[in-house]
Amino acid sequence: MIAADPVSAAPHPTYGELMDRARWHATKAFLLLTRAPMASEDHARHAVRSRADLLTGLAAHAHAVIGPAHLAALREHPVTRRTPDAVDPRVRHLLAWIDALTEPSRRLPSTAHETHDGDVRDTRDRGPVAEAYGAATLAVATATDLVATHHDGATGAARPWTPPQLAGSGYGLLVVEAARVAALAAAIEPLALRCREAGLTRSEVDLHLPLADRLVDATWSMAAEWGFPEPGIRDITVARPPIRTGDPAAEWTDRIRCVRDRMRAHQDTGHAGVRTLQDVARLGTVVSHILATSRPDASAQQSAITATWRSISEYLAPLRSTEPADRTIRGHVERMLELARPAHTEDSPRARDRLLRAITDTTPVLDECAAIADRLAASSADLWIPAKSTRPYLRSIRTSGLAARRPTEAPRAWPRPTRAPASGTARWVGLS
Amino acid sequence: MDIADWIDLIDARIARRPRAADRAWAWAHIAHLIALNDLLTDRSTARSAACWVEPRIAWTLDDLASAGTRTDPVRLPLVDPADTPEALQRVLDRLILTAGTSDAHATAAQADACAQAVTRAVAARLDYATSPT
Repeated sequence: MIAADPVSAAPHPTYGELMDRARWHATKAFLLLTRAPMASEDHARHAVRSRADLLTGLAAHAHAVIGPAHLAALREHPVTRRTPDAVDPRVRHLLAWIDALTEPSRRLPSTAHETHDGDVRDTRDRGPVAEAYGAATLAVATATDLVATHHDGATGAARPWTPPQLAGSGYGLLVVEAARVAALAAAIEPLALRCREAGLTRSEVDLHLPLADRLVDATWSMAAEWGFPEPGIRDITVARPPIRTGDPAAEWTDRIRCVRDRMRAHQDTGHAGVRTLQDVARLGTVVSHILATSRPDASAQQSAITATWRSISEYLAPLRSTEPADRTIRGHVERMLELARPAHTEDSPRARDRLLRAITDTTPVLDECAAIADRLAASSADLWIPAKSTRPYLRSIRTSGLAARRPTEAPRAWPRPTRAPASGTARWVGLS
Repeated sequence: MDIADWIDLIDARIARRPRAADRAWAWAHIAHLIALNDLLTDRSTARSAACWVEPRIAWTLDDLASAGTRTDPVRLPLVDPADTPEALQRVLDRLILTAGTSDAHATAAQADACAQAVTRAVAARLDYATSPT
């Protein structure tokens, strides 16, 4: 009995969950093949085609993870700092593995357009093995799309909001997750045996699942060279939630939550640059100004926010840093200033009212940002550079006639004896 | 000191700089100082409209520095706090004028930063003049 898919109900699956799902379905197909023969020749042919589609999907995943431009550069053997020597065994094994993944699909026409294109599912009875391979292919394709949201399609570079564990990782560490899925579908047995049992001719089986298939060897060689996957990459999810840009109030709400999430990420790392903290402080200053001038009914909130952000701004004002600002937070703050400026909603009083209400409603989110900024500012290692002054920084003090005096007698030893009580009834205590 | 004299004094100090991007950075630096001082002075009421100016000019300074502008800050003569709004608007006008001046020796990055500085300064000046206080 195979348990239900453990992660299918997750609303926003992470990269690791999607690849786990693909591995789970590939394992399911393998177990089905080991336990019972396939019902018909059609089921066997569908299983062979679905396996080829899965391997092709894994090759496409490797393309997306590495980047087409980077992959082409690796194949052309230019040696630069970002493209190491292709004769390096690690790179050679990686390229051989990608080529081996696409070989099965070259031997037969793909069924991907029938099953997954435009979410049109195949309603024919393809058999449980083909269904399991198809589900694994879908999970891999979803993971490919997830990775693509973090990469610029034109240049292949990481986007500004891409987490550092993905942007700074070597491509080899990223494809190891795909290799773990490929290892479950790479072997031609027991699929070849079950196809022969189902009635496929020997020549047909030899054509699609040849004994000389080198995918298993290529997968193991690649895995041995690159080791284990990067643990932080498994937690990556879709690049960022969509921001509703039609309505200023909704856009403000979405963006301030993005700023809060980004500040939480900085809190987890324990560091944020002064420029980033200053950008967040500017947002708080603008919000306090808007509440002071446009929402007289929110005076309590305004005074609290003003006091908080003023203290942070005063602390940050003299600090200087060479560290660049967080481009994501700066982009959000710049856009939010555009939304909040009076000229933006000048023609639509109703939109202005909704925006002001959204600003008031999201003050708890801003309070959380203030708390994080306060903590990060206290732990900042940036420099305080005092402004230049024409006068001496410290006043000179005249010392004539103010020489320090030291008493000539030594102080009395401690503990000092106390005086005897005046009345005879109280007991005299020698020392205190 | 009269505001006109005050502006002329600063202009004389800035005009010696050879590049338009350097002069734009210097004017932006002064605008930022005035706006930040206005914000920090207005401790309790939060009614200063300089909150619309300070962020944009700070980002302008960052953009110009990222584009390769390297120049020293200007020593700022004292200005009467009552004259702050007029002084800030005049400095922003000078920033718009200076950053909008074409410079044949400017790099492409500096030209882009100057164009962005004009856009930001125009928006900051408009918001500073029209925002309720």
